[in-house]
Amino acid sequence: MLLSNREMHQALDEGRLKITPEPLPRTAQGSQKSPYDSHTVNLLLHDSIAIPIGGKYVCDPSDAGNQADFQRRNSKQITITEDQPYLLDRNVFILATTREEISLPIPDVGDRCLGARVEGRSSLARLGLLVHFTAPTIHPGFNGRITFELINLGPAPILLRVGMAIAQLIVEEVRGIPFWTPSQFHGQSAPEGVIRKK
Amino acid sequence: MENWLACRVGKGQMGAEYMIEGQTFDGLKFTLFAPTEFVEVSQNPTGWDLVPGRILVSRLGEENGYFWIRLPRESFEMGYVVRVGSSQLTPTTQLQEA
Repeated sequence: MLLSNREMHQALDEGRLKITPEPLPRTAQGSQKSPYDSHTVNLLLHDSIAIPIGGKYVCDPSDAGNQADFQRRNSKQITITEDQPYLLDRNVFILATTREEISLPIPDVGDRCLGARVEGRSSLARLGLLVHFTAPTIHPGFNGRITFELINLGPAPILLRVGMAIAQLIVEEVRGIPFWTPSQFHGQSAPEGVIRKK
Repeated sequence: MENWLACRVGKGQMGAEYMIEGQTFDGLKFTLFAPTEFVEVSQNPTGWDLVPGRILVSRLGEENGYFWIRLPRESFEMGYVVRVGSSQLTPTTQLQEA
């Protein structure tokens, strides 16, 4: 079940959902628009961007134990400012994050918790901007900034400004409390199995 | 229950994060990027070097003397939950006093 804006506010008040800094105002105030729509809330672009560097290398997702190291070594980190936005060229892929930290705590008691999804905004989608692909899920228990996988599939470069409303968060109720039963992983190092080098 | 997990720490891909290299109880490596607030380092990593550090994890349960823990971010190789040895974990309170 998706939460309406009203239910999102209630979840924020009750601490079941935390967004820091909290998007304000909750409702439009005169000429000041609210970041909330019927069941979404806008998220803003933070100042840190990672730009993968092209090169003569091959990405091997089965290269166990080296995935993060590979990614950081093959990307460049920049910080954008209000004076220095980032020009996202056509067909260029970068990583960025939300300014807001999102927290979806799993309660100790009760039979419900919250999960979420991050989605693009239609106005930016019409320019050809994707803010994620295949990875919109924010799991219950998540705490932190959400990473965007940005790519410009449009006909022209797009200027990315720090603090721009770049995505929207959809919050949904998860029935039941997820658990991590150790016994179900019996004999494994990890529940999903591991990538082993051949 | 929160514990510190011993790991090696390097510069992240983006600001406000570190690269983490950890090991399971049986020596398999896993890697992830974690927000800096979940990590303590002996010294700030520079260049591509990894330095000793620890990452805040949730201890989920014990099985045959090993502990299932949940990482604060998903690892590339094994997901969120991995099994580690007791010697790799330190109670958070004990570390704060140290």
